[in-house]
Amino acid sequence: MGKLRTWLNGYIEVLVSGNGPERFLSLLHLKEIHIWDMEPVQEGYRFRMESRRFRDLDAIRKKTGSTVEIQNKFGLPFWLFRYRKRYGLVVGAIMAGVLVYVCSLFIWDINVEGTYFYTDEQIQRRIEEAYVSLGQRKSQIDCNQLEEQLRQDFPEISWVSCEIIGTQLNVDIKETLEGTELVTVDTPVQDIAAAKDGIIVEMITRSGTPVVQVGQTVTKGSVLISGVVNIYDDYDEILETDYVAADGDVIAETTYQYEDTFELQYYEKEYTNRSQKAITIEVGAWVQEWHMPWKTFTNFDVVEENHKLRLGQTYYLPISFTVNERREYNPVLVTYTEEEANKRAAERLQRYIDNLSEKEVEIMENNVTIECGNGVCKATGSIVVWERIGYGRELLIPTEPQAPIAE
Amino acid sequence: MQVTSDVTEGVIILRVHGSKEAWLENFQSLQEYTAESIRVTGKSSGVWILGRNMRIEYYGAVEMKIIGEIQRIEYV
Repeated sequence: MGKLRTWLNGYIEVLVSGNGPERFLSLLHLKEIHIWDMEPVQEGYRFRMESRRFRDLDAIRKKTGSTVEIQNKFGLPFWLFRYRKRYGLVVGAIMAGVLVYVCSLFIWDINVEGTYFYTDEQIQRRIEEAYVSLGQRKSQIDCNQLEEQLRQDFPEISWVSCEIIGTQLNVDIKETLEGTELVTVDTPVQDIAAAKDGIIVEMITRSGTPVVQVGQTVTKGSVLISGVVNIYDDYDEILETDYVAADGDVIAETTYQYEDTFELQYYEKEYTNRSQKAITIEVGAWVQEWHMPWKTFTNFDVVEENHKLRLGQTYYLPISFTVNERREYNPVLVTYTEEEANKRAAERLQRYIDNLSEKEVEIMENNVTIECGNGVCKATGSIVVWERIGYGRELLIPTEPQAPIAE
Repeated sequence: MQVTSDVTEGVIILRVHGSKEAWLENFQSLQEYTAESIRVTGKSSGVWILGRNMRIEYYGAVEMKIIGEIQRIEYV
């Protein structure tokens, strides 16, 4: 930033010669004139300084009897002065400045982070289709409203934050699991119901009436914590019934059936080192692709690299280019050995378990067995886990029959 | 509370990083400057830096930075 400011203000290269240029330098120090890139030359010293302090050298020059000579001028003021008669260049520079400013008033990129259950593209597509299109003015975007709409569209989102930085709309998301949503004063009356079959192992009720207890087997859809709260009198008769938003944590032991099969023979890609590239340029809605006539590849992969042009970190421009590369390969039939097949099946199972663990599911038992034979490798069995199974289900309050109006 | 000598006596503060960079504060004047020798005086003492291909990268009101191959430093 310091360098940019110096360039904007303009700076000069000065040669000091004559009697005692060292004294000249000492006086510069005394007058607090900042100089840099100082080097000794035959005649004296050469250094750089801000052009606005040049007049201050006059008194020092007279005092020391030195000679001061400007050898070079740098920076914006001198550049503008040098090209003052080249109207086209000046107009072009001004137009470029205006264009950069105008572009900075719009959104040119949407960045979504923090997704797990949903994909970034899914949320990005929804935002672009329904709320914020690329090229929309930043001033028209209401981040609070967008956050609210996203929460409504994607029920798994528990927290969302939208922020505009430069020309980029950043959407940061945290997702929740069933039964972990927060209950606030605005939450309508609800029961906590079971999302799947299981045996209750832990239960904490924060509001509402617990209907089940630890050790009890529940089925999908059954009520775990009721939003109906009855108040009884001394004779165990219902005195009053309140309806609340039931809230609590219900953890149950559930079972996942795991089945994964793959063939022992598979095709491996043997790349031929033959490839061809195409370049696509996008400017706003205008798209143009350039490539030589496509070579005839029987089997090929397409690798696409998209680059969005930007100034700095967050100033995205409505220009992007994409490099498409087609890489030819020959499919070669390969067979897994028993050891390789077992390893692959174990890796796939581990990935499945890791995915479960990321959902705050605690793995209690793993009863999966791997068998390979007859050209197929098969992993089957069950995985017993502890997980939250409660979710909020709207509670319909029964309407009481109205008493007939006495005439 | 102990006040350091750069405040009470105005001695030169010299900071050297390896043998390629040196910073000087509290100096008063530059006595000599060549690619092989830089001599600086302060209020009560001076510093003489000897080396090769030395250059003053910046020279401001508060400090100066010397770069190059520093071989010897003497207090004068």
